[in-house]
Amino acid sequence: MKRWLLLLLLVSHGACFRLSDPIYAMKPLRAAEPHGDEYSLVFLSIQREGGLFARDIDTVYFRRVDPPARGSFVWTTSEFLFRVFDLRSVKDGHFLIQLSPGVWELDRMVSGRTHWLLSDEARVSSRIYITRPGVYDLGTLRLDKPGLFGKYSLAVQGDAGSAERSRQLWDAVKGTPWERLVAAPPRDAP
Amino acid sequence: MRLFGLTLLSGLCGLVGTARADASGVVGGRLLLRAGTSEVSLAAARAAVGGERIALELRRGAEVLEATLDEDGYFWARAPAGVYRIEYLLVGKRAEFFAPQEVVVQPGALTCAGTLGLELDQIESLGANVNNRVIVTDQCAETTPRLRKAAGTATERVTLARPGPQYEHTTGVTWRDLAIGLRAEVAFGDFRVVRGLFRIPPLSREGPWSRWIFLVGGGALRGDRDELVRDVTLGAGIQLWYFDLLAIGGARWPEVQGVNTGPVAGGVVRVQTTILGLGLRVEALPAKTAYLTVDLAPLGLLGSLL
Repeated sequence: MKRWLLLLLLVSHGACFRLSDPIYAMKPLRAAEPHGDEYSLVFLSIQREGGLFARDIDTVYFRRVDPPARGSFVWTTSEFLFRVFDLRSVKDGHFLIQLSPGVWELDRMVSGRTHWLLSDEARVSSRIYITRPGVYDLGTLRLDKPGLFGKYSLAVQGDAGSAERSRQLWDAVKGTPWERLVAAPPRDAP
Repeated sequence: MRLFGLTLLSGLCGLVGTARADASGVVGGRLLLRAGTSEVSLAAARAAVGGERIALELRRGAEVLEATLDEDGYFWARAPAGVYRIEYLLVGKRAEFFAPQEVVVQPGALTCAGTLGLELDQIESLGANVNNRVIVTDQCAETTPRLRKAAGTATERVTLARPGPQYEHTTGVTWRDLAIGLRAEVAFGDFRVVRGLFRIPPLSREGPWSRWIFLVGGGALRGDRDELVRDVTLGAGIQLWYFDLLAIGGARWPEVQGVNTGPVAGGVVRVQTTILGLGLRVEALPAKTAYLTVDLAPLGLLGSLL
């Protein structure tokens, strides 16, 4: 009985903390090796305004919307098994995701057990056309909730390609095959 | 002697150079736009999408090149020999994606890839990716003379564009998928059976094997006099969303009092998450009975903590 209780405790607390949290927290944002030559790397950030206890978004889903492959999903997450042994593609609201050629829309975001499904309008405005393999910076989206009963809204911050983001992206791809597709950020003035 | 060596070297370099020059070829064909059943010229299509530039690109791996596309829809591209994908039509900053077609560039040859008919419901929706269909037809007898004028390569060949795989590289089964397939199960019914299971997940994301799953397991139960009865299970079935539907077979031995032993046959319906699973196991052999099963993936549990 005690064994079952211990097991239940472990399972129930799995969602709250992980033994690897201290190590995982130290891991930098890093792009994984391309799944294939045709893939592109997409860099996206999501800020969530939600008070003291708001958790960062941990998972984003992109859905392909062009006719030949409509409906297929690709996601990136910080919630996966044995994550301590892997590279970190999600950190502090920054996401790196690999997409194959196609038309993609941001479909949903997840934070713990909370899911945000994007409205049709928001999905269409997030649409990206991936043709030539490359590295794309989509900038920052801010998830706002005006008041207790207000609806969530997603606002584009327009910072794609900014010096700070270029530096973050460069750090994430340095030493990987993606590096050749990204311009090195200008060095800081002495 | 040195002079001979230098001559030989330069000759070899020349040969290599020639070989490199011959390693490229020209591929061409005709792009035919259709709205419903009527043909639409490139100029009309351009006008329908607000004068946006329309272009055709070919890709091999990370290498992309733009084909020359004339007003009548004839296209051609000189490229290193190999197989290239045509999967979209650039429409300004957007692109209309269609079922990927593979075309072949043959060394030193002009290869006709046929006529690529891209059919849309309305030409105004070009670039909006609403709906489209690609049909490749062999009209190379009409197309090649026109391509010859533009491309000007001696040897002429016909290798029609053919449908390519939707995904070139997919992530298959990972060690994580296999690790969570190792499960410890307890079945509650006439007896309590404890088993170790290995559930082999679908081994591919597409095609006929994308839903098939297999199950291998072994365990034991105790008879009336606390004698141990061994149990082996093999299963095959399909995965539907979160559900597994399996036909199972196996054996239970040795014969002990109070336990039906012998060949086992039946079916399993189970639902699972990464860590926990719940199922119903119905057996027709060795006796008609049903078990409620609960299973746990120890490595899944460990992995969720690491």
